[in-house]
Formats: sequence, C-alpha cells, structure tokens
Amino acid sequence: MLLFVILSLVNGLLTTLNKMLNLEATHSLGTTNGTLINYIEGTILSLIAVFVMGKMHLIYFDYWGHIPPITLMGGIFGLIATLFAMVGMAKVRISYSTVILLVGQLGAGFFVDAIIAGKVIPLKILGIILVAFGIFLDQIVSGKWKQKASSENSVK
Amino acid sequence: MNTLILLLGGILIGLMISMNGLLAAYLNVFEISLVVHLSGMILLLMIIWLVQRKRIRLRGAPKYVYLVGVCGVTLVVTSSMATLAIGAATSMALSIASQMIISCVIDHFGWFHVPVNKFRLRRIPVFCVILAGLLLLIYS
Repeated sequence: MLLFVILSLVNGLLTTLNKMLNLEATHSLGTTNGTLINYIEGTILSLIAVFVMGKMHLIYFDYWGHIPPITLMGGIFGLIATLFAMVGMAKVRISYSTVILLVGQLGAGFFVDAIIAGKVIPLKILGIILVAFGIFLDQIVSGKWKQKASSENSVK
Repeated sequence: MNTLILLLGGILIGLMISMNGLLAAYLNVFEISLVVHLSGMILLLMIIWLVQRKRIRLRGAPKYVYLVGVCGVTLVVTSSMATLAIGAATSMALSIASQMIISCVIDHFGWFHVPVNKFRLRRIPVFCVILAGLLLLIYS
C-alpha cells in the first residue's frame, strides 16, 4: 500500500514537471507541435521498453479480443482532454480552470471506482469533497484566484 | 460554456487515468504507455495534417524540453500501477496533493520563469483540509 501511495506522490511531481516542459515546448514550437513531441518521444521510448522487457502481449492478435475496447481509449481521452483544457483555460481565470479540471478528474475517478466496486462508499465522497474544497480554498488563500486567463498573459 | 468544456476536460483526464489502470490487468505498464502515446500521436498527426494543414516542426526548443517524453512515459507507468492497486480516486487525489506541494516550491523560487509567489504559513490549514480528505480516501 505504501509503495503505491509513494508512486502516486511521485506521479504528482512528474505531472507538474511535465506541465512545465510542455509549456516551454508549446512556447517554442506552438501548441500542436509542442504537444506532438511528447507523444512521439513517448511512443518511441515505450516501444524500446516493451522490446527490452521481452514480454509482449500486443503482438498476439487473438489476445486483443480479451481486452475491453474502452480501456484502449486512454490516449484519445487524454489528447481530447488536453485540447479541451487549452480551449477552456484561454478565457477563464487559471485558478478557476484548475479547480474545475480537478473536480471533473476526481469525480470521474470516483465514478469508475464505484462501478468497479459495485458500491458507493460515503466516506470516499466526503474525502473527494474535502480535497476539492481544499484546492479551491488554496487558490483564494495563495492569491491565485485573481490571476488572469491564459489568453490575457503574454507568451514568450 | 467554458465551465462545461473544462469540466469535460477534467472528466476525460479522470477517465484516461481510470482506463489505464483497468488496462493494467491485461497489459504490462510499458505496453499501456505504448497504447496511450501511439493512439494520441496518430490522432494528433491527423489533426495537424488534415484539420490544421500545418507542417510538423520539432526542432528549436531548449534542449531540456526534449526530456518531456521520459516524463510522459513515467507518468503513465506510475499512474497505471497506482490506479490498479489503490483505485482511481485515491491515486488521483494523492497525485493532486503532490502537485500542489511541488507547485508551492516552484512558485516560491520562481523556477521555470513563473512569477515568484512566496509560500505563506496561512496556507498550512488548507493543506490540512486536503490531507484529511486524502486520509479518508486512502483508509475508507
């Protein structure tokens, strides 16, 4: 359990770093080309890792029938989410967009967990509400609530 | 309208992380990363060529930017493993809390050209609220 908690925390660290690198990439190369670097490099590195590990399920076409098709849509969902986030964040305050994105993210995660578990745990709902409320409060306390939308900021 | 678009964006991010976690029952984590990045790359290339009708340009960014692929793969790997083990909502909440902490550090020192925003002690009670939420998610 502790290992996976640590992995999640490391994931958060890398998410922030990834955002900063993506931002710099889009500043230098434009939005779509900057985003494309991430996907091209990710594809190449993943392919190398798969070959190095030596365990490949994907090359067996009959194995694909065992995989629920919806679970293969993660990459498509992620790209569309990135585009939606860029469109939405262009016109509203950054802090407001951050809170809305995170509320949507946590809500979707809870919904999928509830479907898999077959039940709703009230304490988990309370946990999500507390986290979302804390994020919202932090935007106000840190003074970020008044920051302008991304389209109103100058781009280097 | 913008709120709806942002909410949909957040929901799609949550669904992406959840689907990657479910996929971990069938594929190893690097295969998941390959599926995610390859499908996203194909869709993005189609958008650039068919919709935007632009040329692809990948050179000209600072050298450290080209580490973004390593970050991306590690992100998918860690989130897939954590989501399968502890659930999507819990792993996402932990990741978000970690993002907030590292954002505090980046803002405090002004790294990556962001405006300096010194950390203030009045934010500590807010982090306690978030911690309480995380503990409920982990142990409920």
